[in-house]
Amino acid sequence: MNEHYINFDGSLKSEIFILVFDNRMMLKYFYSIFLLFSTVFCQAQSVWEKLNKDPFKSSQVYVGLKAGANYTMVNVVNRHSLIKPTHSSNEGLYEKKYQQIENLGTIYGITFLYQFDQKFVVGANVSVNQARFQYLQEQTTASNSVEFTHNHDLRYVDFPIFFRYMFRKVNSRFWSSSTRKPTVPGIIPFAQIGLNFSVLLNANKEYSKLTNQNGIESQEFIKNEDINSIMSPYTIGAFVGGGARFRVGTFYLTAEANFRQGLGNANNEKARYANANLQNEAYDVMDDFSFQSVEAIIGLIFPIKYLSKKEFLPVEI
Amino acid sequence: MRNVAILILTLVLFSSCKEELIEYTPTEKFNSIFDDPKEGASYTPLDVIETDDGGFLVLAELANNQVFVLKVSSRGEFLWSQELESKFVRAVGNIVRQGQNYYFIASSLPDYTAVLFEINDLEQTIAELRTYTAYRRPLAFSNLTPDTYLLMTYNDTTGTVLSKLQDGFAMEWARKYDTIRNAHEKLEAFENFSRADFFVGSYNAGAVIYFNSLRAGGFDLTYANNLGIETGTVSSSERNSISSLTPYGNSLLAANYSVNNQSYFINNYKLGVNGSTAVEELAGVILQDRLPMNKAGSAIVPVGTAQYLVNAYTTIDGRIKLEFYDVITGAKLAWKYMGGIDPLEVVKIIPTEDQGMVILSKITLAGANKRINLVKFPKAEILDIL
Repeated sequence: MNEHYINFDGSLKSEIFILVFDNRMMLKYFYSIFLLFSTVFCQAQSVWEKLNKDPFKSSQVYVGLKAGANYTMVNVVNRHSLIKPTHSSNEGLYEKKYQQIENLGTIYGITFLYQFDQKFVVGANVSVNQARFQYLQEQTTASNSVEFTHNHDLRYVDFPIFFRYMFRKVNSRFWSSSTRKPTVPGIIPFAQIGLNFSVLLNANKEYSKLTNQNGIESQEFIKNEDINSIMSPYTIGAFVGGGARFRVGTFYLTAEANFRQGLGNANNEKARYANANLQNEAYDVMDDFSFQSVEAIIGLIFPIKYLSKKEFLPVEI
Repeated sequence: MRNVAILILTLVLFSSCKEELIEYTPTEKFNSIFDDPKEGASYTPLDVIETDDGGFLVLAELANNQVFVLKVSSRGEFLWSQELESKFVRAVGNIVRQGQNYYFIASSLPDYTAVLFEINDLEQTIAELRTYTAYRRPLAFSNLTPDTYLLMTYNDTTGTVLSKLQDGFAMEWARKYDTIRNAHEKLEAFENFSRADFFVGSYNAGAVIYFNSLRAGGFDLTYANNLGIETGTVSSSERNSISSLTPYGNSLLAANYSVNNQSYFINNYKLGVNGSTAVEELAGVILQDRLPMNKAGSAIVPVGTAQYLVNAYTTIDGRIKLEFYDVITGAKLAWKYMGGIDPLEVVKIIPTEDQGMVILSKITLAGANKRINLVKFPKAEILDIL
């Protein structure tokens, strides 16, 4: 028989049991500590959850202005000309010659960005986009020639919608006033892709006629014509690009470059012969074409949501 | 939300205020000028006819009177062309159709014998089909009935000769109307002095034949029966002549003519085919803006359930004027000018299968380059003009 055990019926028991049983207060303390710990543990988890799910701090809305320049190129789908050949050997002779000059235009407008994640932004702009291009048409014989120069200036209201991916390290969201706030990089490069919807605002053409007879040139006229009626009132395009966002105090500067491709004809195919002046004076009808452009834009964007308006502290994610 | 709805409504209203633009498909409307960069190239269009595929065949004369044929697509695009050998000259301004092929008459050097050519559009070939030996200087060629034809030539010793060709283009009969010594010299002198509109045609299913030619007494419009026997004339002089004659309806006629260098037009007119009258007696209306030296012509253009008489002529300022008349009442309904900075001369106006019309004209580019201009007006545009 183990002398350490005292039975309930007065026989042997364990010493620990005796210790505990005999120390009921200690048991009570032990139980209380356990309960307290579990309570403390539950309270800490709800705080974390609140920080993690705080929508106010996990997104930001920006409004801003943007302006820049673009270079427009014409992508010819079908060629059309009022002047046609009388022999198959001369086919192609009367096609328009699109030039690489007079193609610079401006773009400016306002931008709206919604950053719902540290890396992802969706945006929409309303901007005025100027598209300029030039082409020449010639009728030439050995001793004389007639050259028509056509300069086009079109303005669209653009409504691009895009998705932007920010190249950056993701910071922990679990910070509070008692912990150190993670640093958001001051310069964040990004890539973007989107669709663009354009509404034609106005379209103008300046056309001139230059005649050369036996080496002597004469400019017969320079005229302007509203060509809204022969252009498509709406176009759709897609664009890809990239840039960087620079933090400047409490607002941001963006610099971006995009390549834009029109997905439909910019001209109105069914109204090709609608403008009598162009036909009668310059023997001109539009090709079927879409636009391609490269644009460089500088933007200034301002966050809308602030942690503290007094301290001018925007939500930064 | 209310403000957004107002904004959307405003945009919709604003967009609907835009002027309505009539749009056409590429086969409905086109405007084509056929150019040639070759130095000294000159094209004088003579006739146009619509083909089965909706395209057009154009007959033209080059600088040296050489014959040129151009095929144009239904969209006004160049398809093919051919110049005949230099020995074939002076094509007569009328293309006729028989079966799947098209035919025209030209002269063969050195003696200007009339030659019939066949155009095979599918194979893009032009073949010499028949030579009418002893029938020289062809001046006009047209249908008598759908399967028979009239050929007007100018013989050296007799002047005007009218021939009927059967459906195989063999000659059925030929008649002379004058005896003119050195008739060819008279013709040459007349053509050097003034522009002459030679034409031949028929109406009342071939019962009445008419032809405009240089007769012994002058440049007269002559009437004949279906055997070619002369029944009457509308006499003219050097300064008075008929430029075009268009039969329509129930023996009604429309005519462009000149009296004392003043241009006139008459329509809904029934001309007496028996006996003689003078062109000055026609009670037409003055066309103040018509250039008398240039051609004029009319055509019946069916649009919808109605028909309209369209008269086309070259104006003094180098444009083409189209005048639309009601075929029943004869009243003028509308008019339209065509042309711009380079002068146009109308050659022919024809209706198309899709109830439009095509105008063939000569345009002079850069002051000296004569070229072919073909313009198609769709039905919708004609209705818009009316």
